[in-house]
Amino acid sequence: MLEIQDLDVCYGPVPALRGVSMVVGDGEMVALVGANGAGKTTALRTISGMLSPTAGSITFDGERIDGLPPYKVIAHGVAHLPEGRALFSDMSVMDNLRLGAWTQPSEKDFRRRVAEVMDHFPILRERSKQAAGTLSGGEQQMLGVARALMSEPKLLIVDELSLGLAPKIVAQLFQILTTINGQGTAVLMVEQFVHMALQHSNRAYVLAKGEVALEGDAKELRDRPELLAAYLGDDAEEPEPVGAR
Amino acid sequence: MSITFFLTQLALAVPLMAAYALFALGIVLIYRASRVLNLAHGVMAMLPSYVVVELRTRGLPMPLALLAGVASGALLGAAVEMVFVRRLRRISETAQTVGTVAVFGLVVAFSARVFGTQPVRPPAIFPEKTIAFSGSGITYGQLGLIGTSVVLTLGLFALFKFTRLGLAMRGAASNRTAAGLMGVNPDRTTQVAWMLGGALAAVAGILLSAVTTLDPYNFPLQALPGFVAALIGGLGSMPGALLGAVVVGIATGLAPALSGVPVIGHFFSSVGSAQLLLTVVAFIVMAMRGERLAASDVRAAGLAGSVSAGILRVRRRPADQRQLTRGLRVLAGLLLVVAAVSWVLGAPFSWVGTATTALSYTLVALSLVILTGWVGQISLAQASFVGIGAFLTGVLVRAGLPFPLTLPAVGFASAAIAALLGLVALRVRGLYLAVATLIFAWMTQIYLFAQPWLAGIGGSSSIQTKALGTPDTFPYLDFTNRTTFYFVMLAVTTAAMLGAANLRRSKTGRAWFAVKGSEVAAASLGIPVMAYKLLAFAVAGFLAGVAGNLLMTTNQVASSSQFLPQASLMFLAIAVVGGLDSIGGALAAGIVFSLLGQLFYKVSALAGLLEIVSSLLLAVVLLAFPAGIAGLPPRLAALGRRIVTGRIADRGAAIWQELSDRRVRRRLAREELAAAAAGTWAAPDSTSPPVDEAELQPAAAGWPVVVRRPSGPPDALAPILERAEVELVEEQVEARERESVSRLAYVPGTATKVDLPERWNRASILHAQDITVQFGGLTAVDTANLEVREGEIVGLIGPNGAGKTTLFNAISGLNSPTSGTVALFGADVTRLPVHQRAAAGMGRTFQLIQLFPELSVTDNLLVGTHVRNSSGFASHLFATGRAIDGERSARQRVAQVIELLGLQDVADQPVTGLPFGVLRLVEVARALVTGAPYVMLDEPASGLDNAETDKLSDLLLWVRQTLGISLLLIEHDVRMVTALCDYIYVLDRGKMIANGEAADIRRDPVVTAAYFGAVEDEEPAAPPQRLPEADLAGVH
Repeated sequence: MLEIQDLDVCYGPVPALRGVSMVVGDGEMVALVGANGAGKTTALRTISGMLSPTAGSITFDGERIDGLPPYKVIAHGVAHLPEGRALFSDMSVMDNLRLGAWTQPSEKDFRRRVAEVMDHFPILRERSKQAAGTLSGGEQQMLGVARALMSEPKLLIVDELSLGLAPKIVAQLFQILTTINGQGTAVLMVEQFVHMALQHSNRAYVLAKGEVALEGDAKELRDRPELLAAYLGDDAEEPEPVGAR
Repeated sequence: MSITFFLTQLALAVPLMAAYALFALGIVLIYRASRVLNLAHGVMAMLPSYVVVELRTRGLPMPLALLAGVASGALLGAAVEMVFVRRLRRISETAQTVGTVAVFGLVVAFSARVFGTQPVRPPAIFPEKTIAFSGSGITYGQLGLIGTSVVLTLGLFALFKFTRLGLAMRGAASNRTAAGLMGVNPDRTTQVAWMLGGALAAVAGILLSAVTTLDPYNFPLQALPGFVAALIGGLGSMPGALLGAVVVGIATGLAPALSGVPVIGHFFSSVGSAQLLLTVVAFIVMAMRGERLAASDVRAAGLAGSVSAGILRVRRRPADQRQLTRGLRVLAGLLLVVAAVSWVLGAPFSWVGTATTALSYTLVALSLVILTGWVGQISLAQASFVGIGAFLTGVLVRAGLPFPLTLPAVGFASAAIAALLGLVALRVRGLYLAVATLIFAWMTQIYLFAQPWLAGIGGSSSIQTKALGTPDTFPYLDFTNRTTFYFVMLAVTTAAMLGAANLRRSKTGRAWFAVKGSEVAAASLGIPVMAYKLLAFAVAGFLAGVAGNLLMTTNQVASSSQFLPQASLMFLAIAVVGGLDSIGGALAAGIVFSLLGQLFYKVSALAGLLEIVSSLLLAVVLLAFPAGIAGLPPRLAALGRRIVTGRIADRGAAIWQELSDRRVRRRLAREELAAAAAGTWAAPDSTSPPVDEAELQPAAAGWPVVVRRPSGPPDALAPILERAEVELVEEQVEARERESVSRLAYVPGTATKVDLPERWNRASILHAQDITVQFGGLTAVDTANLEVREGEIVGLIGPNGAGKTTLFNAISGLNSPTSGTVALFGADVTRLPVHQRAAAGMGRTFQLIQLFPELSVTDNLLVGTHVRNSSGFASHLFATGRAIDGERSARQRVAQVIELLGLQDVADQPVTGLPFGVLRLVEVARALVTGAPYVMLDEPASGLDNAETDKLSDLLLWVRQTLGISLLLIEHDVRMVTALCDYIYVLDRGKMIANGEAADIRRDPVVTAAYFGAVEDEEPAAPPQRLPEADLAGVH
């Protein structure tokens, strides 16, 4: 469904991704892990159009989507829940959902989708008139997921679902993500809690220094902690220009 | 005075209220869509009004003319968005604001040229009839204005509430990036908002001009009450803007009536009383809405995205890369002065005048360089201060004070008035401040300069300038003689430039740049932010006032029409064209503008085009050369390189490469030489007292004792720096102190947890007692207690929203607790502001790194020496020995800290562009430079991966072990907290639910339930534990 080939992305002169190739199949749940600064978030942002690649291609259902602005990418069925949620915090929960359904203008569809996401997150029903910024951190993340689902995406991209949340809530959110995936939406996620990510996904890619260092079945990777450690631990560090002498 | 009089006044204000509402709605609409305060709103109202007048005189039917007028407003809005706002977004908010200023100047100049400067009476739109109304009357035109604005307001609300376009616009205003991800094209909604805003301004302008008059200079200022209304409503809210319009309308209507009120009455008895009242209202609103230190300032300080060297973002070259040595600079300066003095002797008369004008422009531009370029405070009122200076000179001369004496008198008086305006600036920043100063300029123009005691009758004041001495004897100075006066001007401007250059290189200049970079960080380093802002306003006011004084002295006459707000915009243009933070740029741009003036005066075909050209110049510089004239040399060099490498093929490029290689090699050799020469700086300071050996070896007892000097702030670095000195003496080696510091320097992996004496036997460093913080009705922190004892690393943890940051801020002084006390080293600091707590020995870092983006690593650390440098403003201004000594010891201290932490490789690099982990380290280093024995770290591990976190933990252990600094950290990363902290406090829903040693906390069931979640059977609850528990124990 999503095919990334030889992707290069730069911030100014600094390369962030080098020749990254990845695939997400229909209904798959894929995890993207790696050390900080390995380029995980960059990869997600390039897929959803927040960044433009300098080389390589991104194809979604056979159509090129690389270099398109975000508002065109979502029309292809790729929804991106960015790091830090990016809610419309001064707008109501319902308005957030309404904007989430921007690409699906039909009012009837909207009502049906609202009912569906409210089933996943019953708490949002109680909060529907409240401003999104007044929700608790966990509720905000739930709204983030719900809003992303409103466009009926074929692929849901989630960046750091667990960021700043208590572990209890993180576990709950992962459960829901698995359910959504079970209903046919493919998921590509970046997650710092590596074990939790691997536990819930089918396949995983390990990024290191902007390149795909490892890929494979999530279960297999989980059973080979020494491999992961090699890429997530000290050896994968960027050489520090300070502290060493 | 009767009630009916009041009521009639109010009723008369209703049409104005309607116009203000339309202005305010447009301003809010544009602000929400693009976070830009459209200072060009007034000209977006004026130009369409002229369009209607022109089309009507050409016989077009009224409806068509109206339609064309409104369309021209919408088009102008779209054009401003496309040409300026969108392109300047990449540079800075300030650049966008200055962009709208350029549009303002451009349209005013264009209109004055095309439509003339005389007021015109636009044709009536509605029948010219009046309905009698309680002794007065209301015209159909006024009714039409009211009706139209009600209809448009309702329409606008419906648009936002019920349409998809409205939803998109609200979404894009709330979160631009997110709106894009949802499928909304945010650029298009911004464009639509500017078009709508332009159309609203056009409607307001056309209707308002139809009931008043239209002229290019005063009419654009009619939108200013709209800004006040928008500010009252909080800028982001449309209902708020309507409420603001009502308040402003009432204030306008009431102002004349206030003349009957005792005490304040006579302030309101003259022309401009409405402007005076509105200014007072605006300033009060801003003071109320502002915050002590904007919490919103706690952001990434532009470190993440700032790429271009642009306006207000100009990177400074590190000291060692300045090409000219000190001796050469002095020589060049002397030559320049000689040239400036000698050319006049043979120059034609008119050129002397031009040169004098150039110098006066430089003086005013310099005031903006300091205020805006260095401190980040925009002023659109500098011409008003020139006017105040000129008119005050008149008052003083008439009172018998002769010229050279009036200069300091007027300078200090203007400085005082500017500082008063600055008081408002203490509460607001950026865009708000720009509006505040514009409103001030407007009030000055209409009210202050209409006061006969100050500005004479009809806003024109004249004096007789007295000469110094008697003719034909020496010394004789006739200040009305152009050549004599040129020398006076030259002396004053040179002095001002030298003083400014001295300030820039001093503690004062660094503090200013720090305030501009991040106010919270500046305060956390002991810089009194408010005082430094006021100081900048005063210095800028002084310079502008002096310029006014000189102007009056030579011209012997001044008229209020010279000091229109438009003149302020031209001064800003000069400063921006020069390169907003460059002293030399101010001089260069002053000369350019003065020459342009001369040219346009001499060549009759160009007469009247000066205003247009200077606005155009501002626009072009903003868009194409954001670093101004001062930024040209590097740009030209780059261009030259491009041409050379582009034109000449491989061979040429290779030669070029070799040349630059050779240049680099030569520079390296030079640097090596300089470094060797610099070795002498380390000679032990004879003034420092001999150090007792016992005092120096606290490390044997497990952890060092902080040496408290009898005076000055506590210095945690003293022991290690003194130990370095002692070792040097003891070993009698040739080695420099530098090396001896480096022997004490941090070596990764060597730090361990130390065995502290029993907690309760150690002195209390910080004690927060019964802290309660309430926001509105919400209790964020509820009677929390927290203590840090000497030598400890204390952790504060808790689930999201537990109130950790709120408590942290209460301790550091960023918010004031509702009840409870904070004691630092046993002294109550609850009432002390942030900077005084910092000076008392409280250091901190920030979750989102708050380094000063324009400064290098070394300069960032130098700001940390602020509290240790006792030299004052006057010594900085004149670069006295005291200032130089202070600077030398500050640099020495920073060099030593750099050595200790091993930051040499990045010392001279700008902080923008450094890796995240290094930035964290630099921020810690900056807190250490202050010498604070107690340092607070706000989520130091956020954004770092496990390995980086371990490195940071190791460094923090070393800091405690070697320097004896006590630490308090908020942290999410449980692994880090348990590995690092001696003692842990757990906050949940505002209450402290547990405290104790790390091992006890992990076993505490209350904590487990609240924080780790009672879900261990389902998922691994805590973040991944790379190190098993046993390893952690081994570290102890």
